[in-house]
Amino acid sequence: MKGHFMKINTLVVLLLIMKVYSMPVTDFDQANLFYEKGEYEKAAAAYEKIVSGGYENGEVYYNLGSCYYKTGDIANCIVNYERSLKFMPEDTDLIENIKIARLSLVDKIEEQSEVPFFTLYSNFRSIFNIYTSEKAFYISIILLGILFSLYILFKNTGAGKFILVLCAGGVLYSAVISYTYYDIYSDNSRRFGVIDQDKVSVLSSPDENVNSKELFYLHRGSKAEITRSNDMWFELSLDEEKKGWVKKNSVIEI
Amino acid sequence: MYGSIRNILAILMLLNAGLYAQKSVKMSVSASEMFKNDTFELEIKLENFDSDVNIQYPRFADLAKIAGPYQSSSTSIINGTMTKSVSLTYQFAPKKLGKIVIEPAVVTEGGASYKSNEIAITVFEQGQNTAASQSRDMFITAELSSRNVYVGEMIKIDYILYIKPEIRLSMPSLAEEPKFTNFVKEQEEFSREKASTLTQTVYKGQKYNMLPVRSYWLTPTSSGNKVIEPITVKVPVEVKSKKRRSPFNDPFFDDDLFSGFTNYADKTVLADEIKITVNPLPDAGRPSDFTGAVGSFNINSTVDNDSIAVNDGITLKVIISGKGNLSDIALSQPSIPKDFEVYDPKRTVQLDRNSKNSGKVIYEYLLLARTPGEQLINNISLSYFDTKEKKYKTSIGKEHRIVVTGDAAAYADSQRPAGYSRRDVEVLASDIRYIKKNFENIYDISDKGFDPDRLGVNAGISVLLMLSAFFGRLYILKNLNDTALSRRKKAVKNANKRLKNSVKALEANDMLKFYKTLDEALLKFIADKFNISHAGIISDEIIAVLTEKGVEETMRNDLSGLLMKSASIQFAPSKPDSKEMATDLEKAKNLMSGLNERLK
Repeated sequence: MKGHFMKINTLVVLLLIMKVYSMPVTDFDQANLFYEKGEYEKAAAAYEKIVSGGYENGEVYYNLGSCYYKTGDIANCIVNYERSLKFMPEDTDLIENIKIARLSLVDKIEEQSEVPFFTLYSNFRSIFNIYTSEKAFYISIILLGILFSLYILFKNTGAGKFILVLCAGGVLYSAVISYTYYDIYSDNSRRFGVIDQDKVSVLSSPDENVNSKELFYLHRGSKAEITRSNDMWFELSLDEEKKGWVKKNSVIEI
Repeated sequence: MYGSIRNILAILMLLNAGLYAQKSVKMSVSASEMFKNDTFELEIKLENFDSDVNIQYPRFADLAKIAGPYQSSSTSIINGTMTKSVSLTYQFAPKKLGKIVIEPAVVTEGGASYKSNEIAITVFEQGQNTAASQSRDMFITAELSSRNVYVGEMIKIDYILYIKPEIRLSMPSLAEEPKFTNFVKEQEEFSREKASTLTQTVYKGQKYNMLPVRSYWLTPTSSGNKVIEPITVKVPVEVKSKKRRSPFNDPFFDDDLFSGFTNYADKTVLADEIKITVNPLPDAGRPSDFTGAVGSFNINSTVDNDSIAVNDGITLKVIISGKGNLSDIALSQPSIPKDFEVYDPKRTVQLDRNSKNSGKVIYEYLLLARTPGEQLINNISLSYFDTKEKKYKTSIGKEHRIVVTGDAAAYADSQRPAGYSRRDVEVLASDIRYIKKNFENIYDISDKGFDPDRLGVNAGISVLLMLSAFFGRLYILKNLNDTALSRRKKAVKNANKRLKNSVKALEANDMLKFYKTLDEALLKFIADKFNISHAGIISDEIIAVLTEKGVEETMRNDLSGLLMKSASIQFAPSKPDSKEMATDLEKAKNLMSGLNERLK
């Protein structure tokens, strides 16, 4: 009886995994085949299908960016490499490719490199992405609950002190995880865009009449933070000084 | 000894033969333009001839000889080269107006004949053109080789000072050099002789002495209409000073020797400003390897050896010759196979004498062969803008095929020169890295973003866990108390059950069993009463607990006496006495009911 139950259980789990993974995995392999044959446009379409199907990860975006690089679409290349960077910030291939892709850009924009105040922390953070950090956060909440429950139960027994130490460790771990999740979440909430036109004039206000002055030009592939938006316009910010409005259709949001 | 002397003599003779430089005949005049009544000097200079020569003089048909020939000779050694020269000087006066051509002089020595240059002089009628030019004492002209040039095309500018012959002067000096904005200038050095020799000439019908002041080579750096500011020259002119009275009032001191030195007063002379049109180089048809060479050039290349062994070197020599901005020429690197190790080229510029824009530039590449095989060196070319034809041209040099023989491994191992480091891995091209072929996780985008419900559920689970632990603990504690109560309540009942065993033992007259069960019943009764474990209970502890609970001493003594008795009988059994056992049973029953009363 018990054996039957186990079998059914594993079958259900397997079916669930199949449902989640089977579709993207076959699409991914299919897209890789196209890439190997040099049919970069078809490969890009296949990778895009995975994303439009509601799945994402660093590898898909990485390969997608590479396809766009090969087809010469530098804006989409940068967009997808930047998306990939959120999943695998320490990937050396990715970092190298971004450098190569940036060689063909016109604008020289200094990347605002955030100096990590703890190398240890930034290493820890790079293990997580927006999904895994959220999961870790919830797990830490449950873990705290379990530890405190144990303490409540065994307070007056010999194990009580040991469990108290575990609780302290659990609180520390949860604090770090919570901060990491908050950090990654707030980074993900920042919006960035990449210019998808050869040359775009950045205006001082979101309209095209005479009141709007041309502040500066941006060229294809340049990345800027989107600080505000309305129906038709994005407000792009390069730094404190360089800020202005650009039509939405000339920008791809990362 | 004798031999060495002969050697030295031979060397000296060789030196003698080599040291006498070229033989030449030159003819020059002191003035090339003059008035009808002027005289001039003509000099025929023979260099490095022996005295035994035959000279065929020109026919001085339109000239009247006034004096000469005077002969003078000199010998000089410059840079180890000996020059022996003989000059013949005549003084002539022209006999007619207009152009007079003096034919070359011919010198014959040992069957070979040497011809001098031809000289033309122009003779003017005095006062010709005087109406047209205003007579000025002194002025400066600027002579340009061209006024309409391209960016990068060199021009020469000569500033010449003209002075009326009657004015006596000292060496002029430059007061202000023009600012050659938008030009790169190079000054031509004058020889001392040239800078201090006045030459007679006729300028616009007036007789003048002329003196070159400065010459510059200019290379325009940007296009447009450029203006060069005038040059300013200070000319010290002799002033006739009033003769001061000699302090001694003696005619002896009025002699020139004592009458003071010549006084000079500076006169400032300005040249006109110069306008130059600089055309930009056209964009149309500009070759990709054009680096700014302007003029007309020819490229040629040589290798000193076209068949070498591995690790041997060859020299590739690229010679660019021609006219133009040679100093600015940059040769684009010829395509040399990677199998050669290439050192930075040595660049030398050899300009022709008295010129800054003609000559040659030589690039010398040292190539070390590192792998065997036939190698091709090509793409030796120079793109330049031809100012005459007004279009870009490319001069292409030869290709060189070099056969390298030998074993490449020799280089890799033993033959590596000391201090020579291995080469870095050379990057031939850059491309993005290969795609990722598989992944560990893929995420459902619909899960992205903060979901307060999910946080609520998880936090709820956590809180529920803790709450359940709290209530669980409460329940357990309560339950523990409940067992103690029930034990207490059941203590008498259980004790009576146990005492039944004692009654059975009494009836069987089994004294050992009787006291064992009695002892057990008593202890377990008290253990139940105080909710402590049955095992390992000691009578002393029970007495202590009872004292604490305020049980009377008689009752305590009875209990301890009974327990002691049953213990001693169990270890040292004596003859059973049923009467005594019955009283002990009764005593135990009384004790239990008594304790039960006390410990409610």
